[in-house]
Amino acid sequence: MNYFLAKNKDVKPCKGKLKGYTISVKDNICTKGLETTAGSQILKGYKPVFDATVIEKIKASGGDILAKANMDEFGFGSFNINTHKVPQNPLDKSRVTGGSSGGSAAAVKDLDNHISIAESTGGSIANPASFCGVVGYTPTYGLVSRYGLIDYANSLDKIGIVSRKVRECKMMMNIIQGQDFKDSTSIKHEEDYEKKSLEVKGMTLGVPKEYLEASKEVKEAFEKTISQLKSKGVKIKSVSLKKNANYSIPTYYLIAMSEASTNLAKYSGLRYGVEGNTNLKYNDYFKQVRTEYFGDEAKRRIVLGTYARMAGFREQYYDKALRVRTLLIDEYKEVFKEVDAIIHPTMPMVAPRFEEVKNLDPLAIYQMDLLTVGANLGGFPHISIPMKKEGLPAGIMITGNHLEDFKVLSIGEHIEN
Amino acid sequence: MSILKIKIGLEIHVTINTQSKLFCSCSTKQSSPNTQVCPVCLGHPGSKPVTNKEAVKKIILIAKALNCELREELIFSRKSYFYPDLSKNYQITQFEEPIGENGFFESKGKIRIKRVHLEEDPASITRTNKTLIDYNRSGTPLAEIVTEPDITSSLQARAFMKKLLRDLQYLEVFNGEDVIKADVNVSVEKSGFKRVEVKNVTGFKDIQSVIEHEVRRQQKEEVVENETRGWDAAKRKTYSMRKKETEADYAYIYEPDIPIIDVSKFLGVKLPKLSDERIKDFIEKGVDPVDADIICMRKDVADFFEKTTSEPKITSYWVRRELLRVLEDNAVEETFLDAKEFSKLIELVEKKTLNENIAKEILELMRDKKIDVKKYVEKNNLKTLNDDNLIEETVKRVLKENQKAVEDYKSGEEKALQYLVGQDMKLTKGKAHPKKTNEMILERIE
Repeated sequence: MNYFLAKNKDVKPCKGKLKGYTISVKDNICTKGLETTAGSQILKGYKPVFDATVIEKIKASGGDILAKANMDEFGFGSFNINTHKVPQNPLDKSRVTGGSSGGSAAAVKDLDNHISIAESTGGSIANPASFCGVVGYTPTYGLVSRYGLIDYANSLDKIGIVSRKVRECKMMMNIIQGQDFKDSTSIKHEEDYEKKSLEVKGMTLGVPKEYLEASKEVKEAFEKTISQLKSKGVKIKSVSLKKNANYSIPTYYLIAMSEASTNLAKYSGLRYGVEGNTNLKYNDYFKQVRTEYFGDEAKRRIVLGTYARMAGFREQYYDKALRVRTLLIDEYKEVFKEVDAIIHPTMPMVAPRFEEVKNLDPLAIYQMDLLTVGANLGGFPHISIPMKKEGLPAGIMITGNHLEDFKVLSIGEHIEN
Repeated sequence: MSILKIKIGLEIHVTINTQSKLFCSCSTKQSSPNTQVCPVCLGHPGSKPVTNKEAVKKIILIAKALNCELREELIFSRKSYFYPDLSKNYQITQFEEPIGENGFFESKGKIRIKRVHLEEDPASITRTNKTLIDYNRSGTPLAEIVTEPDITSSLQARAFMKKLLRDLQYLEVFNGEDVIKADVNVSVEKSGFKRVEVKNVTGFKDIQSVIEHEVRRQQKEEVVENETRGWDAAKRKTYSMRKKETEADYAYIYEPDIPIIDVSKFLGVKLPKLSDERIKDFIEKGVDPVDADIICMRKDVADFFEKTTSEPKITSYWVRRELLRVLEDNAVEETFLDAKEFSKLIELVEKKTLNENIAKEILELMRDKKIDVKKYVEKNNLKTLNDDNLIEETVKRVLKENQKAVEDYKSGEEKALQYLVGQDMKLTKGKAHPKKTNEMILERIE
């Protein structure tokens, strides 16, 4: 089903707390000596000289890495089709896994006792978790070190966890959390996530009225979940995230692409990854390497991202997007004054078929990220829990205020049961 | 003849002397190529920059010494361009919000400082038939200092750079031996002050040459254009690189891997005395202005002079002539020289208990090992021979043994006297009281 890229031939069985599990890690997280390509042909054959901090921590806890999980090239995509080896949804091979952490979600669905370390920039954990029917948790920005994570958009990238059960996310979060002096954006905040869950009864959950446009089957599953929550003594409140509904997509893509286009500059076939025709002059050399080995979506984001930050346009696009991001975060913060967390469907539909997404234009695909982008833009912790019991799965997404990860996990666990 | 009106602005790059690089813990020490490197300064995927506090403190000192308005936040940006010396194909620098702005620096007039900021140096490139890249330099901290076009001559530019580098040494942020690089912009009245920028000029001699060359060129040319030029150091001339319309666009964004750094707690740092103040102090102590200037060229030497206890004017003479001679290229700290002992040595000479030439020899020894001057003179029996009888005895012997020289002197050869004194010194191992010896020889010949 193509959910793995490089496999670790010398994998050791996990010990200690992780005994009995196998662990995969999204291919944009560096594993020493094990090929790491971020799903891109341009990094083919690249074996990092160091382990990412999360990998160090997993190894220190007795774990080992089984394989690198498939992904859209550099995280650029919502269906994991922007890769040279497209993974299939384990529930229906004619359907996508979702993306960009498609390999992680598919592996967890397909393999028993498997946990995958994934990464989300704009929804790349929640989206495939929803499509594959597994749990996908994205912590507050800064709780998990990004050292060794191949950058897509540094101010938005967050390492997280895909698993079958919330309990497993909690266990893994206890292992990978913590401030890291090698990542200046990591923050000092540690918690015991495995302690007893919070009582959800009496909590107020907000449902953003702008986030309810979804397919009939997803809508029904969501409504069913809401009524179950109500029956358990949870208060449901209708809230508004109007600014996010209108502006989070352009804001997210402007910032993400601007940062991405600088991050991708280093891939020129000079010191790592593929090598081109070395008889060419420098400019021609890197042009040839980048033309040949970057996929279309990577090229599209380099062009758009560069445009948005060029003199004459920067003020209008990049700078403005930074200012709007603050407004959008403020809007979430306002809602969190009234509710414990925000809930809505993770994706507006079940996993689409390959032929359905093949002909979608990029803009239509970007629009599909609407429900996951706001939380990601603000660095808010969120989790997607399977909510649809019959047919193809769909997730419900729970978003909490900054550092309220434990609350988000508790609500997730409650819905899961 | 009317006076030529010229406007010159400098954009100077100075290496800040930190122990480790700006964004990683690699050493900044000289080493064989590509040995002081790590995933961060090589730009490996997944590596992240971590800001060096020492560099932050030092850039604040620089901005403060240049009388800049300081920001309480240090904010980095990414400057994008493709060049083989850049490991990431972007440079981490400061753009919209430099740490210091609107300062000034006095050097033969007030020169306004537009901005001061902190950035990382790219790798160094050697071009043979291949292009060789040494990443040891990649990520070394640089201070960029940009002046307004207030400099009006190549000589003023040179004086400005010299004084700037001197003060950077006083701030202990710059190693004297590092080369300085600058982009030089020159414009002349004849062209309506069209701005021409010459990129990447190394060393102050070339900076001066570039200015002189550009002024000549711009005066001669019919039409001067706004443009960026390069400097061919071998041919000693500038050449056109690009015209204004194709000005590079670096498409800056904020560096998202480094949060804004609150530097307010560092802003109160007290500046040490800089060269002008030190020169003034020394002149007040009675030192000749020229000597004070020479002594203050080097901070280690100025510090050494300040610690001496002997009479300032005489000591300044010894520092300028003898200390600088024995130091050669070494810093005072690299030798055993001690200001207190140095003063004792001078005092012995002044009291005529030690001959000057012997003192100079002792000074050379003091460079290489710890010496207690008084004990050393005592132990090695080096005191000046002051006893008239002893002096007379030696003089008699010298005259007797060198009859020919005595005759030569009498027949008018002045040099013969020096020879006789020299022979006397040889016998006394240089210890004979020079004046008395001289007088006694003359007395006896004539």
